[in-house]
Amino acid sequence: MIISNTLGIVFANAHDALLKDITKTSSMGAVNYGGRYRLIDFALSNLSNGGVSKVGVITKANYYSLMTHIGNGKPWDLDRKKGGIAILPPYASPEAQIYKGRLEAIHGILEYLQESKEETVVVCDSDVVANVDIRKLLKYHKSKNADITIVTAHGKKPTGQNDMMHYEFNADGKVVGVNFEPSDDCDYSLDITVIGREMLIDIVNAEMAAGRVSLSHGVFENHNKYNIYGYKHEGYCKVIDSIESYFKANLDLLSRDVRNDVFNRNNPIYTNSRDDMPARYGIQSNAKNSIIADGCIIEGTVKNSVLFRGVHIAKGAVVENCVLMHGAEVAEKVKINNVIADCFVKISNSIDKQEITYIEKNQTV
Amino acid sequence: MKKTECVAMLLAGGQGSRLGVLTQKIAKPAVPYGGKYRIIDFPLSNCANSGITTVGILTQYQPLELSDYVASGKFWDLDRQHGGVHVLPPYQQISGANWYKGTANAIYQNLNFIERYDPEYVLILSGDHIYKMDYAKMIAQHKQQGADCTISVIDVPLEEASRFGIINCNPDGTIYEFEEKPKQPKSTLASMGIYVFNWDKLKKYLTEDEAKEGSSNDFGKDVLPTMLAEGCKMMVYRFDDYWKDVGTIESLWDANLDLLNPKINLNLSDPNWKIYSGTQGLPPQYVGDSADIENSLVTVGCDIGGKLDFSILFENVTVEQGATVEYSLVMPGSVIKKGATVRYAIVAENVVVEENAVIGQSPEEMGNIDDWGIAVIGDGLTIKKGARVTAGKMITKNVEEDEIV
Repeated sequence: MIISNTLGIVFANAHDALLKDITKTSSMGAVNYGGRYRLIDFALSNLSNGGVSKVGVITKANYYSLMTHIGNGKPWDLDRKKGGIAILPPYASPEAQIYKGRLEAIHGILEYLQESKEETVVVCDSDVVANVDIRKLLKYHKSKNADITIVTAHGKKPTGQNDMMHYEFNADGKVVGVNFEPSDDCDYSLDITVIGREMLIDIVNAEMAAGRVSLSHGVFENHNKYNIYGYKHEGYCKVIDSIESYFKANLDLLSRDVRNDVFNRNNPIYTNSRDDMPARYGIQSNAKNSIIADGCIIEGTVKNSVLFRGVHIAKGAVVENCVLMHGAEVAEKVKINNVIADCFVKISNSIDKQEITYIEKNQTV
Repeated sequence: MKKTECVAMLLAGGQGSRLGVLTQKIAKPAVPYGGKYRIIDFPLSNCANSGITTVGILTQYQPLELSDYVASGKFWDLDRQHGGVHVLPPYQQISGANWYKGTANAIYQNLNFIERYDPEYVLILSGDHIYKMDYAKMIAQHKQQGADCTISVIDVPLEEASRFGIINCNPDGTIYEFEEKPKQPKSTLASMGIYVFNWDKLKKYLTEDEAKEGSSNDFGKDVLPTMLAEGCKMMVYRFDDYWKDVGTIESLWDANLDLLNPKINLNLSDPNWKIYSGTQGLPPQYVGDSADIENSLVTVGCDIGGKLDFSILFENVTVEQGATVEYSLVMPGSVIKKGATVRYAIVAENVVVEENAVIGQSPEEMGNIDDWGIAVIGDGLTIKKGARVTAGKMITKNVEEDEIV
């Protein structure tokens, strides 16, 4: 029986600026990941696997590639008569600019929230790679009788977002303190939050009336007013907040444990199909320790890399420690190391630098 | 109901008995092919790419997996408000219940389905072949020549011609004779089992054939020769691209390995003519540190630590470190464990080949080449540690530890 009383809200443009060139023409949610996915697939699949059948995706700018990716939501089972997926374009009143913070963004979709009947809302960012069990999360939220539950991860706080919070809990898991300082050992936010729908509407209205900009600051400065709990995510997670963390999150998939956790067969991550042939390995191809998507043609050497759909490695080419997005081509005898190549990049000169080299979409180098 | 110009009827009810254990539980069109496809993906994708959006699929033998796979037709863009795909099993009528007796009878029993769309033309297809074909071109020729029936033909080598239904025609393409598997073929034009009929003619001849006593209700044996004898205008449509029947173990194996042959034009992800298939949310393949892969196709969900050469691996196949797979097809979900060897074999779905088991033999290993053949392992079986399966064997039950079959 799947009758959901939960609504999903996904921010497609969360922290776009941190990925600089990669998100120059698309939103964070549309960023390619792991050979065949886009980052938003995690939020959408997590919600769908958690039985959530109504999801609103809040967009801000450059959301064309996101829209073509999401379509009618079929891959995530979100093509529904009741509920289903809705892309919520940026809302701007005649006198206002497009929203600046989350508070304004949610204020812009108040109508959608008010029209919805679901009791609970799960609000997610799309810059986190993690397979989160939403059913467990909702159960926890209920068992604690929480007003708000935030999903946290334990470890070194990612440094990309300067306003990222970490929390102090009491023994029961209730938030008793909030901290913005960097920390090597803390429980930081994955920006996945459970909250009552009506409470969310009330808070947004109150904070807007008070002239605030940041939603979370307002809430957490008053954390004594609400029952806020933390839910620790135990599995793999990676917040994408820089080119380096993006690169690392891709290469982390070369670990079997990470793959088994992220691509948990009981909670699969869904994405759009491109209907490519299986990957073809030619004579004298040499592939080791790599993630390789369908449609690739491997005639050269590939090591410690992630290749997206339709990548072509020509004869004698050597690709090591690279993330090559779909349609990228590496010419004969070219050697590359530490490269992130965006879609349809053509590489015909060797590249080997200590730092990561990022090559923009459609470029020839 | 809105009028439709052409309705396609896909004959998918055959058992494909020559595929043995591979079609024990599934109909032939549902047999996996090429790493991520099933045979039926070819006619369905061809229909979608040719702009034919009303397709009746005639099922009879083991229809569960096939119907389940076709579902709403969404994978081929054939989920339509008007038309779309329809799975048509035999059904009970006031006059009684009949299985589909022959290819013509199967269509005859579904004349009411075609009638609903009131088409000009009916395209008859089968689910036995690997090919990419634009049916719209064939229908355009049929229209332009004002034919009653057009049959798609392909030039085959003379020495193979006696395996096919051969069509003899005049230089202008008018058919004057059919010869079923002739000993001394007069031409090398083989029928591909793809027909375009004018709907009114098809209805008339199917109805007459049904009433005829002693008819086997088959297109090739009964309906087409009768139409020719009664003076219908029957034309050939020449096709000269890749086309292969996959009715036997050898031809299925061949047609798969053809995907690895750079001289054969069979790009299945050509953006202008993609072959679509059902997908199921699997992660990309992982190739391990100890892997050694050449001349092979590998797809989503696979985990490779061993050696692959001239092989095709389907979804979710695991080849552990120290295992070898050569000149073989390994179908979805199968596991080849450490030290095992699979060569010149077809391993069906969800098989476990345990440590150091050996499946199949190369032709060079054989004393007498006539004893050689492709070894086939039926789905869900376990080949236990150290067991051996010799060339050409078709395995239908588990093989015990160190057993030789």
